[in-house]
Amino acid sequence: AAAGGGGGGAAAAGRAYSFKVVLLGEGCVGKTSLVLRYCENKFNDKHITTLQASFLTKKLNIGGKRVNLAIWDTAGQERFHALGPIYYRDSNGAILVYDITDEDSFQKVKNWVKELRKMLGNEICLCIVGNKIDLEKERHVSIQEAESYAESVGAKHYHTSAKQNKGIEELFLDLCKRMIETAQVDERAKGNGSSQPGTARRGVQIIDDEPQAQTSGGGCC
Amino acid sequence: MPGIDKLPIEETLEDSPQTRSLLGVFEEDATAISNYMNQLYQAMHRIYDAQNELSAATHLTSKLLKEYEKQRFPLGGDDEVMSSTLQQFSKVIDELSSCHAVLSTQLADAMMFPITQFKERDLKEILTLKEVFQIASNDHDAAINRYSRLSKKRENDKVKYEVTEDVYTSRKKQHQTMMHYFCALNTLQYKKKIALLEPLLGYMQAQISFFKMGSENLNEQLEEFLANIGTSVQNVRREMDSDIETMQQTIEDLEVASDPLYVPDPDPTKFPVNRNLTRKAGYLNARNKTGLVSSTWDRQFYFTQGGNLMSQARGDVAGGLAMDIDNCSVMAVDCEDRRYCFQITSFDGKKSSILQAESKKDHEEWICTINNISKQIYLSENPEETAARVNQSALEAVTPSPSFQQRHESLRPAAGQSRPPTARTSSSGSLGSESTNLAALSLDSLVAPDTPIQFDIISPVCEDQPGQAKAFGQGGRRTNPFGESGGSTKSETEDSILHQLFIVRFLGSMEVKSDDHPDVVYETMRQILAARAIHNIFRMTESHLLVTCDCLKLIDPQTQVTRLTFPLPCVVLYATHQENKRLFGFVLRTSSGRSESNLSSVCYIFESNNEGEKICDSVGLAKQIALHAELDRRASEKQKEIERVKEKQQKELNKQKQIEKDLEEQSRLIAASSRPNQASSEGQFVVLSSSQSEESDLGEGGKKRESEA
Repeated sequence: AAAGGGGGGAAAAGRAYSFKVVLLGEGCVGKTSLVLRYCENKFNDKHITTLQASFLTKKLNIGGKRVNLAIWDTAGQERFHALGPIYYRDSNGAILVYDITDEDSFQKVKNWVKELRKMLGNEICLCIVGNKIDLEKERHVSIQEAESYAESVGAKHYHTSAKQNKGIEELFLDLCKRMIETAQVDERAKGNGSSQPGTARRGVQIIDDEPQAQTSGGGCC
Repeated sequence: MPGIDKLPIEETLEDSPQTRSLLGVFEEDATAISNYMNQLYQAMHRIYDAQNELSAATHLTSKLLKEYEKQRFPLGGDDEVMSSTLQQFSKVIDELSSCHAVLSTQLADAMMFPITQFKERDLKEILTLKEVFQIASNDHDAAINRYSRLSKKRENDKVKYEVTEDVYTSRKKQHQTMMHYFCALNTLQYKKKIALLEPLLGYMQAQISFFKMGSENLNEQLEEFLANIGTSVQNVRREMDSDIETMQQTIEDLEVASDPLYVPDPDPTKFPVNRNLTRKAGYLNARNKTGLVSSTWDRQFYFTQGGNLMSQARGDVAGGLAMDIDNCSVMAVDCEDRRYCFQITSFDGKKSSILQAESKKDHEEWICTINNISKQIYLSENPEETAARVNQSALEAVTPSPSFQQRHESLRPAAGQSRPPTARTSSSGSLGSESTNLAALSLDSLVAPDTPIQFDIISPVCEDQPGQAKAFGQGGRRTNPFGESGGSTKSETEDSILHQLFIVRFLGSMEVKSDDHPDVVYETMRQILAARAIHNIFRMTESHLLVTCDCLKLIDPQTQVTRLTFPLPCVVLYATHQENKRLFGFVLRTSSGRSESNLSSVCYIFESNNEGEKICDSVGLAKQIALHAELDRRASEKQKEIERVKEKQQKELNKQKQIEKDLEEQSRLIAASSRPNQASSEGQFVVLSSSQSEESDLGEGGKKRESEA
């Protein structure tokens, strides 16, 4: 797997993008549920506290571009906060999750946004995700507030329910498209400068591997 | 001030030895002054340097404090109180540093300047004058000497004039130089005093103005602030002390408690195995196959996350998926002569890992935890309790019933103990085959209490249990897969139209109370797997399961010897596990149980290569064919009655017509030899492959023979 330059057609030439996406947010907002639903299409109501960070992988094919996603699930409890930078380091995307029934969890998202912008600047694609929309009746975070906040910090907002499998495919697909765009801009910038291979930006790696026809409906395989 | 000694300038022309002596005293004094003032200069220069350094250092300190909030501390970076406090300190210290800078400048002007002037100008002047005077004095001495040697003769006027002129010049020079030298030496006495006092004045005034500025800046408000900070420092210290105390207590406690834990394989009686865990984390060695026969073992950190098993190397930041363990199967295995190994096989059977735990306790806990997770107990409301309940029943399932123990005392003195003897089963499966008989208590009474579980196939050769002996009457016979008749027995395989072979591994069998619902099979599967997991029974005998219309057979894959035969009509129930399609089981109802009067049902559980559904389909098909064959047989009996009458009537006719039509219809007779009257009944189940159609004919023939017999 050699990281290399190449123009905009990198993905078309039998290569795949590798992106790292990190899920952050307060404990119990449903980060693990989102990942499990997306990667394994599993869901259970029982809450199991995540104690160790882990990642699951997913392969996508978006408009002929192959993408390997590593989705990092972190522990949301406050006592794990100090580990945050270790997880979001070199991330291409961050998904900041809150529970629409829990105002505090939304405040926590704001803190994460602040921290990520401070530490990583605008290099990272941010998604703010209001999870548990199956509990719409108990909503405590106003849609308008959340959406306008997301816009004000240059993030995109999504509504999801891991339980009902709503909005999750869209969330990841959208994020992948944005990350591909960012990567392409980077590639072009690098192509204009010294065409020196091996100096790929942060986490983005263009991986050479055997060209393999992947047919997929809805962008996912 | 006492009168100052002076060199008499008036006496310079005379230049008496006394004057020269006095000059010597003054010169000595000048040297002493020079030495002393040099030392004083150095001391003052140190003050000045120090002040400069202090000023710069204070400024740097203030700058660093100001930059605190821009620092990226991995811990506690967002402490706003601390950064605002430091901002305040930074401001005050910045003011201090400018005070120091002012002081520094003042010292330069008022202290260093005068003393440097004295050292560099005045003292140097004295030295120069001293040298010049010395030269002039020597010149004069030389001129006098030459003059004194002038001859009395008058003839050399020119020389005389020159010498006289020389004396004049040198004497004048000496006199003038001496006067200036004397003047300078006399003045030095005053300059010395000034040079001592002026820098001190400057120093003191600079200090006074510095302290004045300081007291203006460091006002009461600052004191208040400092008092607050002092208090918070005290608080932090108190917190720290109490925390240190707590930590030390923890260390002491842990030191005492951990000692037995350093032993890699602790005594299981002291640390009982917790069988009710639904999450676990710890280091395991994972086996990686590197070649056909070689493998490496990597120590990695494993943890369960819901229904996933994750693994993480020491340097990794997060764990990656090792295996989805929902509905997986786990059991202790023997591997490369390592201890405490267990194998996890994923629900679809596609992935399997062999892992090694560090201790017996760990080994059992991992197996139990993964087992609990695989049964999705972790999703229940109270997983601990559910696991405890399930495991209680599993534990009871492996408590030997007294009757069984007695019966097997001769065979197995430690029946029901957790480690079965490790004698390897021979390939034939007939010698040394084990029967770990254990009692079971059913959770929902689908399976009778005190039910022994049999973990290996008991072939007729070593049969010692009357209960099973009669059920498997067909044992030991060689099955010929090529269709040659091995005997006249009606249930011979080659007679059947259905002949399907599956690779299965026998997991266990046990008697069950009911045989009318697949739940019985599921419950038996659960109990047998639990008992195997708990007792580290990992040995499985592989067999070929042959499904025919008459019976199910277990055949030794190497010797082709039939291990067990189950008559198809006795197989009353069969099912594959709903989620784990590797598991397959059926219930055999037999009247030849322990007591002849009662029907008894035994459930047999197998592991297949993910073919549970196929096996079920095959057995289903076999039963259907058998049913049709039975109906067919009854139908054909009636048919034959009619045929016999018809035959007699037609015999006469046939005899006459035979000769006539013999030649013409020869070809048509051959074509019509496929018995059109039977095709209608056969049509319903001609679903077999073309290669089997010949066998189906044979089977039909066999059945005919049956019906005639």
